[in-house]
Amino acid sequence: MINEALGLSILVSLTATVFVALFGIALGYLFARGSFRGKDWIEAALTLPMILPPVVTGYYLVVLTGRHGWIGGFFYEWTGFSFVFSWQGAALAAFVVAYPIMMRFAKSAFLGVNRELEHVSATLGKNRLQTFFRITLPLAKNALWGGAILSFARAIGEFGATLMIAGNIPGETQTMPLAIYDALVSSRDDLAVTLVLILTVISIAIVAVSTRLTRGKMTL
Amino acid sequence: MRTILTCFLLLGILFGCTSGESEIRVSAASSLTDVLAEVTVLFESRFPQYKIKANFAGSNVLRQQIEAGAPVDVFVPASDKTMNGMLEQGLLLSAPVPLFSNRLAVVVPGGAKTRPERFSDLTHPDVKRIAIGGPGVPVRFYTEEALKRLNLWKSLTPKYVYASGVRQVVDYVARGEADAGFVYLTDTIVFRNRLVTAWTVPDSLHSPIVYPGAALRDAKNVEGALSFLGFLESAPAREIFKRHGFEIK
Repeated sequence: MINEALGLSILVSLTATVFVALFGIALGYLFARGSFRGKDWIEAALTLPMILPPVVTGYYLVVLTGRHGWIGGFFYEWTGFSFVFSWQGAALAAFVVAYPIMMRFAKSAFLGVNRELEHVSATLGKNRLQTFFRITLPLAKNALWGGAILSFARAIGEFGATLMIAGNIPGETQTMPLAIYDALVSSRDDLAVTLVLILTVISIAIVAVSTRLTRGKMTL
Repeated sequence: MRTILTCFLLLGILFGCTSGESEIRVSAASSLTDVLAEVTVLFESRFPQYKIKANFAGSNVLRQQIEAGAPVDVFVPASDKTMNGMLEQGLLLSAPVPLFSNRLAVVVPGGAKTRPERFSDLTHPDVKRIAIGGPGVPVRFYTEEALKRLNLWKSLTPKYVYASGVRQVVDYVARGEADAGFVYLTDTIVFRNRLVTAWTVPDSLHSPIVYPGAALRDAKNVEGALSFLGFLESAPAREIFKRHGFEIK
């Protein structure tokens, strides 16, 4: 039971973090370097899942991706796949609550990169994509890792939205926080304490690593 | 000086709320949410000196809150087991009184194409997910009893989705995410617009679903607690409970 929940939590959070990193870095770069109409408002809207109660995020997800949801309905008719009650649903919930963290870390990381160096790269005949991968990304690397690790920590702790979309099925969608909730409400205190300690240690380790990576250069 | 005064004023607002009428804090099973709201209105109109503060959750969660010292005067869980455990722990002021009872029903989503009609249909591959109460949720206990008696509990296990309370079972089924669910008969009345009742589970398959009521040993408002409990057994209150589908023995 402990192994199942822990394994599932890691699978869900890692999957979520891969997408979080891609999506968050792209958005962070867009908001750091781009200039377009309504930029501040779009950024604020995209930050929402970090601030909204997870139940609200969960509600949006259910309305959108449920078997009879706006998007989920089509998808289900088409493929027979539904995010609801699946580990992919748990990963989706974790992704949605965690990507704003990555986005904001990435934005401030890119803002911290000296633009002179990017200009030099351009004068040496490199295009924007080459400059991004060979100059900007390596210079922002530490802060980006820090953001990804913190996003992973947020993902592994996700509860509210997960419960709404993925449900609570041991071995299938029951991640650590859900297993802890189950153990607590069914008065299995020993199990609850064990799970709580494991999750606490993991979380402290994650945050410590993230702090080390971003030491002295972090502004969220 | 002004700042300090403001702070005291804020503290006063935060902590010094009670005035005039006295509060009765009631912790009740979530299946009672709607019916108790109605009973409360009637009670407060008859006893204007009291004000009901109700807290609804799964019975086991409420029990843990009380064990942890939550200020509660009256407790109405959805299971005698929970209540008897608390009696043994010495948490009650007096012996619990059985107030009313409920039944179990199988519900399906409104627009379902194929609809299970009897227990054996639940094993059909079209029924992919069955929502039931999670560990410690009272409705789970009765569901498990009934399905075990029918020898279906084990074979249906891969289909279960565990809800944090009976109202979440309702939600999963109403949204069509689960193909069937086990809820109380009273929930099918509250949510008749969102759920279809497939069948009512025979009483003989599970132990009686009784809602006991009791005042708590640490009640701050003993007098209020006892008058509210008395009111729950009165004819006008019983009328409301009956209308919501509860049975009174």
